[in-house]
Amino acid sequence: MNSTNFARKACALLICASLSVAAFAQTQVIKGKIVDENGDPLVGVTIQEKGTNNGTITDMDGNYSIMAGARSTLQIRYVGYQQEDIAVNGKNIINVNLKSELEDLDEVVVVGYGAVKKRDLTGSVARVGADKLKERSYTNAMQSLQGQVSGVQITQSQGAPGLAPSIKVRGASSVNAGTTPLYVIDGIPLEDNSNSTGTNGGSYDFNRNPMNNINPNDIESIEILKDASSAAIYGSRGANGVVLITTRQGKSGKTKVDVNYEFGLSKVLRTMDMMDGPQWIEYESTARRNSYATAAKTNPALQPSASMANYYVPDEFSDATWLARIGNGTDWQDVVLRTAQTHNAQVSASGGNEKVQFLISTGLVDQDGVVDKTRYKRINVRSNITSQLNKNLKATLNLSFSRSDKVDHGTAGKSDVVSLAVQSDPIFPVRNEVGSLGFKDPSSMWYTFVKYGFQLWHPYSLTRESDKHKEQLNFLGNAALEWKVFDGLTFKTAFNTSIEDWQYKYHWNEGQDYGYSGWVAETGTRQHWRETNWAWENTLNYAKTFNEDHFVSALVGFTMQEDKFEYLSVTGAGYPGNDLVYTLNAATKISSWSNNEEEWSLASFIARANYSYKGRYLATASVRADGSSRFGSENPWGWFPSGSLAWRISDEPFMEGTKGWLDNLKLRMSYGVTGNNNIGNYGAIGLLKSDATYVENGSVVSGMYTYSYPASDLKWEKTGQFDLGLDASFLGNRLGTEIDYYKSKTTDMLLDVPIPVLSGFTSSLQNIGEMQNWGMEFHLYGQPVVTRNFRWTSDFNISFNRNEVLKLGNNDAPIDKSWNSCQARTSVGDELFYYYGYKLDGVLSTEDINNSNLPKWAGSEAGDPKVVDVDGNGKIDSNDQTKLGSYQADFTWGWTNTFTFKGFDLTVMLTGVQGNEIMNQNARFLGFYNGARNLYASRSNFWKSDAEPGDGKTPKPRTVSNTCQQKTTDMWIDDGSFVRLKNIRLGYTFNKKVCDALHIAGLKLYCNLENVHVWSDYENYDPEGSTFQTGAFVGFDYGAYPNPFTATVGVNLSF
Amino acid sequence: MKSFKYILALAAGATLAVSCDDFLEKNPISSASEAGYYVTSDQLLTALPACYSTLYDTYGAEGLMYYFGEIWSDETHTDNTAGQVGDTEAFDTHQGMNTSNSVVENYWEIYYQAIYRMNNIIKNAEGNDALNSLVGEVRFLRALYYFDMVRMWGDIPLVTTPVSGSEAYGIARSNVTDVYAQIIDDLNYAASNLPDKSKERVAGAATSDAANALLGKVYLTTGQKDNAKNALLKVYNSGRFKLLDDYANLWDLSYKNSSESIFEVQYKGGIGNPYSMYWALFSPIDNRVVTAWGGGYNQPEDELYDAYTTDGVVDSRRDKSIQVGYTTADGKFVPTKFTIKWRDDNAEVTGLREASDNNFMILRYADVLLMLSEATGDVQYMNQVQDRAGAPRTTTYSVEALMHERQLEFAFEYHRMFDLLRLGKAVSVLSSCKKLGTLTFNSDSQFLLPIPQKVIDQNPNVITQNSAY
Repeated sequence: MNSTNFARKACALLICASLSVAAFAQTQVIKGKIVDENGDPLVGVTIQEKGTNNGTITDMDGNYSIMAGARSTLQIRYVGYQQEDIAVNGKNIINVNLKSELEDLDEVVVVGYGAVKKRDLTGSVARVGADKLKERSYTNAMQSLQGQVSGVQITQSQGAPGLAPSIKVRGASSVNAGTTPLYVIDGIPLEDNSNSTGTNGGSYDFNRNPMNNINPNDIESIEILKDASSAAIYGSRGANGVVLITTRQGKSGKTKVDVNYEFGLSKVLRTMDMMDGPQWIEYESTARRNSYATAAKTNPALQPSASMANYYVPDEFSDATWLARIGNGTDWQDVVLRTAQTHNAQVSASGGNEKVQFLISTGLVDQDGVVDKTRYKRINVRSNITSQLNKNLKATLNLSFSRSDKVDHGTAGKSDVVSLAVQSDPIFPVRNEVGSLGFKDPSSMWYTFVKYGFQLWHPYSLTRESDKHKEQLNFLGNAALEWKVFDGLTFKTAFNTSIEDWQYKYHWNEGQDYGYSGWVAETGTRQHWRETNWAWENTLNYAKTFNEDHFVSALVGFTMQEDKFEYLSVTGAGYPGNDLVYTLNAATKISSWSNNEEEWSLASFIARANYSYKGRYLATASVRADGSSRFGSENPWGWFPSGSLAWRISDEPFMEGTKGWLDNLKLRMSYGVTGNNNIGNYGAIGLLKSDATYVENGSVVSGMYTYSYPASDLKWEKTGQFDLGLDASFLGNRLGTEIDYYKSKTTDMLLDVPIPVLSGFTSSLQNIGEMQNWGMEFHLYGQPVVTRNFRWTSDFNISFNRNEVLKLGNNDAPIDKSWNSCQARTSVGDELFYYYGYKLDGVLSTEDINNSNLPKWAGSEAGDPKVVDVDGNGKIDSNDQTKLGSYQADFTWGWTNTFTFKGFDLTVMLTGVQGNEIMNQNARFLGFYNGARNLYASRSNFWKSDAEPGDGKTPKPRTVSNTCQQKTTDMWIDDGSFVRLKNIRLGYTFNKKVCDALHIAGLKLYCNLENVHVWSDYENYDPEGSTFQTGAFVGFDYGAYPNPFTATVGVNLSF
Repeated sequence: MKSFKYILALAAGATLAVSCDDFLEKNPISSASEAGYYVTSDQLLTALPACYSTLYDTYGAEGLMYYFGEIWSDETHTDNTAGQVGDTEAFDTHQGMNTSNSVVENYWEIYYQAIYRMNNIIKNAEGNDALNSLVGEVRFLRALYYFDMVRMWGDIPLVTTPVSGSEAYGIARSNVTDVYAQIIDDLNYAASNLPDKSKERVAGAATSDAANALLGKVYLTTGQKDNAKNALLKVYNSGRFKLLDDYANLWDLSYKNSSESIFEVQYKGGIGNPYSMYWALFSPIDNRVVTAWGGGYNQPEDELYDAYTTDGVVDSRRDKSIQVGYTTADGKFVPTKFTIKWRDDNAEVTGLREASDNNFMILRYADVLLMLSEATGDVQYMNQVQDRAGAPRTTTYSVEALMHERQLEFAFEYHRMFDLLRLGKAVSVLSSCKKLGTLTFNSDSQFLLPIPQKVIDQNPNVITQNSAY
């Protein structure tokens, strides 16, 4: 069909070939067919005469034809297959059966400001290519890496659509500076400034992962620089690892069009077991009776009346009509959760000729969340063009644009719909008899319960009585010019820019149809964020091989980057109360506002040198000097050196005997220094605030005061890391392994050191702390079974990380952080941010109460928690608080198995985390009597009397209790270990015959199941659940948005 | 090769031409740097409101003066939402008050942050006589804050000039006597450098009258009755103050900064303003009728209500201070007593709380009169207060009579616990009050608050703990 076209191409190639090989005397036509192990033809395989530019590719049937020297060698290369070098030796027909491979040592790995072959890597870099990314159905490519890369812990802390996972490379290296890696997208360094929860929906440092706006379909590869020697080229931003993203480029040849469509359904399979109506009525009534009994002890005359919410058991609870009306009650999870749909459509076209290559793509995601009304819509457009302007000049222009619209509920934890729904009392109906949402509607018979202080935050009062959108526009642009000054020397200059612009729009209806805890007047909020960032990077690269064996390359560069953001937030009040107009012009008053503008800049010099001898001994050294506007005037510049060595033992002559079974054995060793400059933009400067206002003559006057302690000696945190690695592969890549040991020490750690408030400040930023991380990473891969039609590929990784704080501020005083009564402490000798509070040892019996030698919390009664006297001083006081666990896991692992049989492929992936704990902040309410809220069903088995002690650990309910109810105790700490059947994917690729018949290049159908099952003891939705993505409170689950089970079907079509 | 050299030279030149120092210097945009500030008189004046604004914290409806003055005493209690307990309830029950109490810790920080701001102004105004009056206001506030602190914590670190973080580690708790000496020194300075009430800088600003009235209280607290009398008589004889005719008007919004007011916290009602929340929080819990929601704070004990009745005669101040219940939307009467002193029915509501306009009087003329009787034993002063209330006059001075009169006059106004301690009645009254059941006490030291554990942990060799903890 394309024969004329092909002929023309072939002619051109022939001419090229004849010109380029004119020097060689004997040339001849060589023809052949390239097939895979199944005998299926491979399309687009590159056949190149070694040492020349003479080459061709195979056609639709796998055939090729090339003019080449009779004594030349043909290199046959195809992505995902082992390269074959075949000597022509005068043959005219050369057919090749290409073997696919697991780990291609000639695979090019992108490193900072360059790329090297995997065989020449001296550091620890993990690469995930498009082939793997394509095999998953996610909107953020980082999600697809979960469980796949050793040493990189990826946690989907909340399952809301459009929400990035949190990523931690080789443990956290910082207390106060960030712990998120640096992302470099096509050379644009972008920081992930995610810091807080989704409180108020538009909190501007929530979910800032730069990958949120990148279409995974556009990505060619993701490289993660794990060790400090690799990351040191990113200097003051490398301490948490660096993630390099390279987007796809077109290849010369026929234009290829890919179309992909997916449809998915999501549902929460693992719900919480909450009390139903009758269980809750019994619990609540008992709580009131118990507290009345306590009160009556000191005040026998006390008679409970209906207004005494703490003591009076509602009459309705003994009224048959009411009990019948209540029945089993409502499980509010059924109201807030739903089955949700996802559509994902992708189209891309790529191609080009020798001079110009292009890729254009667009993607559309429309994803509903499993929480009522939540939704994420995103459209991406990308255009990547590379043009060889002339022999020595190459220009690249990558442009990408995205627009998204997100309706987010349930990710803020406290006071958001996921946690509130389960706290709501089960006795209330979804709608009352007059049709409104809540019992606080005075016209409803349910209004009678108002006097008892009951709780209902109807999910619809948040999701349906509000209008909430975050609309975001993102632009990434990258223009580069490469000039080949002379052979071996290349100068590259690149100008990059990114723009992030979003608006958060929120409106809450008047009164919320009585569904909320109180009647709140109509209100509206608008927030706007704009961040612009540009970077200019100049590098000079030199590479040359001397005397065959000595390979030398060097890089020097200078870069500048500047970033500026502006934030504006306005909340209006005094709306007319009719919900007609949502925008702020309908408000008559501004109830709160804020406006902030900040900027930073960074100028850097970089240098790197590589040397290798016979590819056997490899050495790399690099240094980066960063000058940052964030550093104090006393330390404007930071230096970040690194060095690494590698030894390919398998290439040694004395290893000749192992060639039969040992493909590769390489030892790597490196040391590097990286920094963390995520220390805030103006930490070095003492700042004034004017918001200490006072009223004078009826007017509000502002009062100036200094609110931040000036720290002019502030600088970056420094992490020095040693890495020792071993790579080996055996039996023609049937089995391979990568093992790494690392140890890092962070010094000059930035701490908000508590200082005596006599200075006017409770803390000051100081580079004073020290911390170390060490760990082991194992990656084991192989093909246990390979037959003609069936193959089993297995890939296992496991990572261990240990973290220890070595030094803190003055007197090594521990640093405590608390979030709504839940405490985390950092102290010397332990890991960062462990949970800190009281230990409980069951429930006090009457005998315990009478035992005056047993230390007890003041005011304890029989049935109250038995607090352990940890320090043994005979009384329960704040010194009895102790370590209760931590989010730091003993190990994390992932295991992926892929089975292919003819056109079918089946992938099964398991992931797991072992030995961590979760701060179950939900348990503050759901695990212990608190304000007439609903509880876990298991709490029905509470202590009733010495004879009926229940499960022995659930205390008796009391409405008024001054024991440890609101203190962090191990009742709030849950085991976070889990094993997850993360992914099952079944695909069928139609063979060539079918495709030919349909006049298409390829067709694949697949079904993908994500998050199929989790084995865990955790009481809430998901053991990965964490309201916070980074920082001190990671692992605090205050009602995280559940991670649903998702089933997707898709079709992949290429022309 | 030659051209390459030029390029290198060019690139290097361009690089150097970009002055990195300029490029790397980024000054804050949305905040100002403190460097060079607090120099001119105008700049120092702008820092003054930040010293007053601490009153919103300490004397607010959830302030430590409320917790200590009322809840820590026998007079009122808090009705918590069921299950909502913790560090605030330790004040209510006198059980479980411990060294990690977050309320105590929070206010320790608030006080010292305010002290720092004030020391900073005083130091920067040094040597500038034109600023004596400004310094007088600041020293009045510093005296007030230290006076409140020393009464609640006992010995406290005494800082009178800005100190750095490292210097702060060396500062131990000063003896109560030394703290009082500093307070008296500050107040004497304020009394001689501030204008009197008639020439006040602005309504609510500290005056020499306020300094003298406070000085009287400080002297009474330290047992110096003659000095107290002299200071208080300056206010009494000034003729600038008189009791309002109607007790209820004291809290009427049209009587802000009245002739009875000596030092008053200034609020402005309405969303977005520094509004007060006495009305929102002191109304019955979750009532939703009297107020939008109702905090259930500062709820009177029956003993207080009953104290207004002597031999069957009800003091007029009772019903001007307390309402005995309310009627719900569905017409049911809920019998629960609450104070109506700071009533503000027309306040805007935000987040279910009234953004009220009510001020809060820290010192008023009735207090001066009762203190004068306390200092002199002469009932003529307290009789004036009784006359206004239409109550029978006390004929013979006694501590009991004074204490009774102070309770009726100042109920809910954060005086009670301080009065009990000053008059030596705290142990007996709290040991026998109904609210605390069978709890008994034997020493005033049991009523001191703990030094926050955090403060001791930071500086373990220097800072000691109070004996009760």
